[in-house]
Amino acid sequence: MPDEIRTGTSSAYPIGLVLGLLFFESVLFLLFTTTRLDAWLYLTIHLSLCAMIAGIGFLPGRRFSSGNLHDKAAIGIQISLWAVFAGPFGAVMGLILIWPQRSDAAHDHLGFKDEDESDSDSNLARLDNLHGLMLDRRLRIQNAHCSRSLLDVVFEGTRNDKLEALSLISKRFTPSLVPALRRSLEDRDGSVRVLAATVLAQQHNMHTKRLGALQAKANAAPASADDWTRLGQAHLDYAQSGLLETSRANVELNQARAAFEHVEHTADPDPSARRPT
Amino acid sequence: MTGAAPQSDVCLIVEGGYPYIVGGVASWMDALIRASPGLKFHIIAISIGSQPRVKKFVLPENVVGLTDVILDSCPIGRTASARDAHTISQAVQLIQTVLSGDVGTSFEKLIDLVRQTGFGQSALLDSRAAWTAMERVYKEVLPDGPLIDFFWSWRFLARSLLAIVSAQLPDTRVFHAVSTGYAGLVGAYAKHITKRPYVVTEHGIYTNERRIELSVSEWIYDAGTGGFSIGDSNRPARLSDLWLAAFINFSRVSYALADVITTQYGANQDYQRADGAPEDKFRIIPNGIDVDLYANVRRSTDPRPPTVLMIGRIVPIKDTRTFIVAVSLLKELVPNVSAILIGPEEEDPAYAEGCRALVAQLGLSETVQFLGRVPDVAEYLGRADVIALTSISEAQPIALLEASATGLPAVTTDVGSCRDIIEGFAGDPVVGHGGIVVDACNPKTTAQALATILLDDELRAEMGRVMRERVTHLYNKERITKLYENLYASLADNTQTEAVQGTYQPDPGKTPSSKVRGFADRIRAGRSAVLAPLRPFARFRGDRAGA
Repeated sequence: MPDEIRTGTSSAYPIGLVLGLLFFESVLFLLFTTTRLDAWLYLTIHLSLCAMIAGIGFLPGRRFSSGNLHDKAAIGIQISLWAVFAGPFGAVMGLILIWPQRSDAAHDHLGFKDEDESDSDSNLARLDNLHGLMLDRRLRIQNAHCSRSLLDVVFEGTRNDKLEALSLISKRFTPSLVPALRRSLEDRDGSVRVLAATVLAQQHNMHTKRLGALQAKANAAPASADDWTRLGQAHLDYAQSGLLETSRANVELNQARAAFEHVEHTADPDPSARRPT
Repeated sequence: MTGAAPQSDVCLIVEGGYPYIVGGVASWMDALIRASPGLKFHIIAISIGSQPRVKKFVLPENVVGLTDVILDSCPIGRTASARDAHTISQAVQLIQTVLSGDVGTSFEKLIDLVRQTGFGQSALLDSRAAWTAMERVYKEVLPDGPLIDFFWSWRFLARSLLAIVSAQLPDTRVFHAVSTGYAGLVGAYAKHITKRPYVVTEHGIYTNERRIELSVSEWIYDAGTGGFSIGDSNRPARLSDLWLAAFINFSRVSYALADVITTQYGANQDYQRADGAPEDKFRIIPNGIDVDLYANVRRSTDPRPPTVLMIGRIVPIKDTRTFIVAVSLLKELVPNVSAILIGPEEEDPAYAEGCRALVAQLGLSETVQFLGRVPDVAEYLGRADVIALTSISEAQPIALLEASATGLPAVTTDVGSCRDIIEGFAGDPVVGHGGIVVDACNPKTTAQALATILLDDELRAEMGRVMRERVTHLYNKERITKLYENLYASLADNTQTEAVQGTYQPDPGKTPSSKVRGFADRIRAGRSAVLAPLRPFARFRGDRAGA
């Protein structure tokens, strides 16, 4: 069932029901006060109406509920109490109050939940919310105090811990891990120093090989804005990798600038190529 | 496997090197063989099927045989029957123990079982019983990992063990593995079968090198099932754990069955000890070079710019990139500096190309020269002012020793025994520094160290003198050759060893270790006692152990 149709039904249905009930109860009460209807008959019709409306609310509520017995009982008790204290209007009131829950249940049941979760904005908002809760100390991660930062491990860990940390750094390298890597280069243990140097050299080689390949490609096609943009981006990535000394990073930045300037002056601009901001 | 060899004195066992691959250990082996023309050598070269077996060395005349052991090719063996299921399960259990927690006994049991049953690939890898047993190992070792990855890893490791325990052994007096790992396993296998003495020499520590490879490798798939916690003994196993455990246990087996464990410098022994090597087997025998040859290299007096020399393959482990960046920084301090790179580039052409591109990018095309291989390195040593070595990993680099013998000061990274060579060590008869040791991957300090030496003539001369003296005293090829010859002789013929434990100083009066004495006593007790275990093996009928 499409979401918007089901939502439209959910808002139109109770209003019609309330108006219908108001009319029916007014007529019934008028007949009772003009003694055209006996008291016992008036009460029977009135209570039957309450039971019927409560049933209308309860049965679909059960169908859309999570299947939990407590949920079903809660729906039943809520509608019954409203009907007892406020007659058919109370039953309708109870129905309206539980309707949003039924809608959510139906929503999940029909598989709309995954679509919502795939929405990155929504996820970001939830993450932001979680982060806020953590900062407010309203949310705690179990055993979080046992976690050690990689920098702590390379400072204080055993030889095996340090080697394992460097292995992780190698496989999931980000510029923020460079301080841990550089600290490991000064470790007392030779094998730790060697692995740290190997990881560092591996990262350098990855960048230089990529740059070499992109440079060759760009040289082969001087008019390809796309190739020169990629080359510029590669220089930029290397400059921002945290691996380079300041002077070398500046050289890479200049190379990136030169590549982007080439893109701007190229005779055959590729519309898909845009200078990164 | 190829080649039926005549009898030899020493069987050198090497993994992935001599005579097919050029490198430090391969050059060391070549030099060792040539330095002892009176000894006959046999080579066991371990490789994999896809590795090209084209000789990069001309084998010296005293090499009497070459046997190839191909790790990914083992005998098919006899076909298993339904009655063999229990035996196959036992064999797989033994393989698992050798790969994960052995101290030698399981390896010996595996050798015996394979020889008794005639099992090979057919029974132990391809049969239904082998699959069932492998599944059991999988559930124990990598329960959360992908079966397909475990299967291929297991298959390679198990097949390599079978290839080793069915390898053909030459008739030789002493087995000498030049590393642990697979070479060490072959040595251990030879020791168990022939009961001949077995020496293992480690230049670099095998388990450290494999650990580094595994840490940065991309070929080994890790699904992240092990999580990211460090130092957690309860974390789920990773595939890399299986490989690392195997390599560590290969070393343990090698150490357990070796009679003597040698290395070039003391720091290596800490790692060997940590991997379970018994202290009483330790010896230190450094590398040796032809000191006289290099001491006679004439220093060029022609006018020339200050020259920095780097000798080594253009490969990532030598960190040529750091050297090039260091030269660019050095140029700011010594503007007319010249840098010469000597070494082959074909091993990693992409890296070499990247280095050349870096030189161009840094505007050093006029400063840095790539010479590739040169016929006579000594010629360039005579025209240089300092040698640089920016390697990430080394043991005891021959190039550094050779340059030092000519009186060149050095700037090296703090790897292997470079610090010992440059700064000396406790008990070193030569006092003083012959250069400067710097951190790896640090172009700035490398450049500063090079500038310090290049800009100070007196300091350079003094450092050159210290280096020449130290190398002459400690790393003289004649002395080192004697150490090895005496070691072989002491193991085989009860000759006293000159190898010294804990110091580089020779000590002719030192008695052999208890293990060596035990071996010698057995020889004294009579030829028959030594030969008894060999009788089942007809090819050992020409044994010379008691000669």
